[in-house]
Amino acid sequence: MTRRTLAFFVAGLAFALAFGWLGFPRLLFARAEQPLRFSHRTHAAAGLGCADCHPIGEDGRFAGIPGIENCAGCHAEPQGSSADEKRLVEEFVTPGREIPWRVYSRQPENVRFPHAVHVKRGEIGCERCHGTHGESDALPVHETNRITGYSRDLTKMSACESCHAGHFPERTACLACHK
Amino acid sequence: MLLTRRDVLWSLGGGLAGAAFTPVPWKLLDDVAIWTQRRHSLPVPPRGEVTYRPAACTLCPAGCALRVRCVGPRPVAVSGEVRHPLGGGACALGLTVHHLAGHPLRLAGPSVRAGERWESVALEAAVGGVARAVAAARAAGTRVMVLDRRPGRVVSAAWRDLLASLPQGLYATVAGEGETLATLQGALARPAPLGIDLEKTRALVSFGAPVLEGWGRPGRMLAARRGLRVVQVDAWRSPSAALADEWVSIVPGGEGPLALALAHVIVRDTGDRVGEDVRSALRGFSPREAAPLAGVEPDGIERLAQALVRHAPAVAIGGGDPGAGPLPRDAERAIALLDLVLGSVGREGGIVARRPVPGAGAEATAVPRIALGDVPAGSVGVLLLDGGDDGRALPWAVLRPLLAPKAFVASLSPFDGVLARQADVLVPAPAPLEAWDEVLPTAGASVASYAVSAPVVPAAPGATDTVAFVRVLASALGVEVGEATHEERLRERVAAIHATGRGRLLTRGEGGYAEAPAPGADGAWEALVAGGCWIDDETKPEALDLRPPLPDAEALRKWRKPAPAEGLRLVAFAARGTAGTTPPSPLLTKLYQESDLRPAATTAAMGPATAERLGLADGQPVHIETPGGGVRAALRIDPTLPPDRVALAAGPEPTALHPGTKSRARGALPLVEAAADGTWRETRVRVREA
Repeated sequence: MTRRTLAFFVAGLAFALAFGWLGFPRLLFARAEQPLRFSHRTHAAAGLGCADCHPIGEDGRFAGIPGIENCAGCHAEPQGSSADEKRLVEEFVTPGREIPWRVYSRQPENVRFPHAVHVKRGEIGCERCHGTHGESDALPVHETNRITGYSRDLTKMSACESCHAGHFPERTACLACHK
Repeated sequence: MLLTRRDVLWSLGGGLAGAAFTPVPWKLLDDVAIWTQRRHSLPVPPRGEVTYRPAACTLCPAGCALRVRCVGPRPVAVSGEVRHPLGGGACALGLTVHHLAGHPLRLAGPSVRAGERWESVALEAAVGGVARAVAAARAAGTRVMVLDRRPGRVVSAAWRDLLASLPQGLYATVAGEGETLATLQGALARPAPLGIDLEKTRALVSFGAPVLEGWGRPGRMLAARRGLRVVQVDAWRSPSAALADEWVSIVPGGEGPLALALAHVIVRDTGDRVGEDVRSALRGFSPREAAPLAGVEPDGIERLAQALVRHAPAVAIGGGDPGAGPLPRDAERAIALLDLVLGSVGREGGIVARRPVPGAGAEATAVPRIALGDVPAGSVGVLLLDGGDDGRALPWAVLRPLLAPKAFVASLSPFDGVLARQADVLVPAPAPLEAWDEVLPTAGASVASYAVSAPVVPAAPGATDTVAFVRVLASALGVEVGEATHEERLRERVAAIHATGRGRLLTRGEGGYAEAPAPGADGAWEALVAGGCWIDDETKPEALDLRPPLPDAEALRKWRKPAPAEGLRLVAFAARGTAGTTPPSPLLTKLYQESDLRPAATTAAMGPATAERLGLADGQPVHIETPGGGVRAALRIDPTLPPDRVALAAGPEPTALHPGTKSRARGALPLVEAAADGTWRETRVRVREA
């Protein structure tokens, strides 16, 4: 191998590494901002807990992202002077229109995740899976995998597996989570 | 600087090498795999009202109660009724039973053989062909035989009504899971169905019965397992052997000598007074003498016999299968004799009498039931194969010798399977969940019980209910079998059960099962159709008067002086319920192919010493030959297999799991050599490199 051929080989290698680690993720994931800035920290400081807006009903059904009627309880009038607060009231609360939040945790079709079983029976805290999301001051950019269509922040199967294998070895069969 | 082709190729090479160390190829591979699983590529049933309908799984004799989730008219999921009073839950076969109506091997409608092809015909034409064959058999002096693999149903009674009108009718059944109990029943002074008081049994020694794979009613067995010591006697490390407290490895065909050897030790040690006939039968079966016949060390026989006495009440059962077929009749007699010597017959925790299920008139008919092994060779001119399936293997090699030259075969199986392929006429019955059916007491049930299963979905247009077929055939033959439909016959049976005033009716409600008095026969029928069940009153075990069930002199002589065992012997096996004529859902490929949890019919296994002697290696394609035929399989080395045994799955057929496959693997059933008594447990094989 001459010095010239080595140089071309290294150039190709460097380009591929740069593209693979820097360019490819930008191409693969479509980034989109949430329709409104939302501060979990502000709401937590006001005394709200996770279950106040994301409750698990009597029937065990998880409410997920709260509907606009939940917001309307406090935000019928603007709570401050920010532009986002003004938009919340004028564009969503007053006309009763749902906020088109981009959901980070939308599950694949072939999986079921019962929050009630994990939170109530398993006594697992929200932060165990959602980390410090409840203390954030703004929602992160939503990234969608252009091929799979799933959110980049979706909990990975390996995370489910490691927890189940460690704590619930009797619940590790495929059908424990998959439909 | 001039860019040369060599420069481009080197940079491309560097790029490819670099790409391997980035997420690009791996992430793309993963994401494309996930993309193929998205909604656009998955069949999504149309939306509709969600309802739950009761049903029963009829793929094996257990008859597990099911709850079928329907969206609109379509069943989309099945779950076992875990709270069912007779034992709840369901196996993988039952949980996928709703797939069978759309199975690729489902037969579309009546058809007749035209050389190598099948031609679709109208029902009347197919029945006309059967009627002409019956007339020809009558003229030729041969028999018309119905083979019923699920006897005791109202369908069975319809067949027997038809055969009663035919002077040469034969009603044949196959040996089932309760064959040991049937052997004891035949020895009773006052015949009565027998069961096992399993809840109070302390030890169960199973001679090849799949006791821990869903034997009897799986839920009942699981509930009783905690207080039960299970000893599995098997020629291979079956799933039951793996799950049992002890596995006793025997040579194929060693069940009878081992049972007699155990009885020999018990009689010797306990000094029980038995008749001279029993002592005479046990002579020559001391542990030392029986050890080479059974393939078990004398110490092992002594230890097992003593453990059975220590863990009284202990029960021994045979029945055989799955996949390896029934045990020889004399082996069943030896096992039944062991039960007698153990003092387990007619006592609490042992084998007890129960009352029969009323109705259907099956036992009172003019046409008696005959075991398949008792049908004279070459005597059958017309063979009618009922569509009911017990999930047990039945090779064509067992039926073929019974047929007269140019015999006519009609199959009513809803599926294209090993037996249907031998037929001259196919008149497919409805698939599971498409027709009325009933659930009778399982092998070992200590009380009678009864349930019905109403159709969950309408039968496919080409399917013919078996009772309707019998009526049409009777009309074509000019004989009378009554006009009652399948549903009406079931109603009559429920009315007969209700009229006895016996037992309790349990209805299925939101909170589970509850006892409810039925206001009348119609109320009882409605409760059963809604998923309820009838359970007879429990009776106190009573001593039973029976003569010792002894193996016949010829079998004893053969066991005492066996022919020298040389060469390899075939061990056919299958998971319970997978070797019958009903194919499993293609979804179960996950068990056989993707996960390799169950050995498929494409794989043969042998021990390392045997493979080394034959110069064969793991994964190597091999050809397995018997006088019956040859099959191709991939070899798997299994250290748990004793020397000189070749294990090959009897089912499911590769074509059932992979419809359209051109695989030459066909499993063990085409290879087996059937004995005169209809068993096939001792087939010698030759294995060579393919």
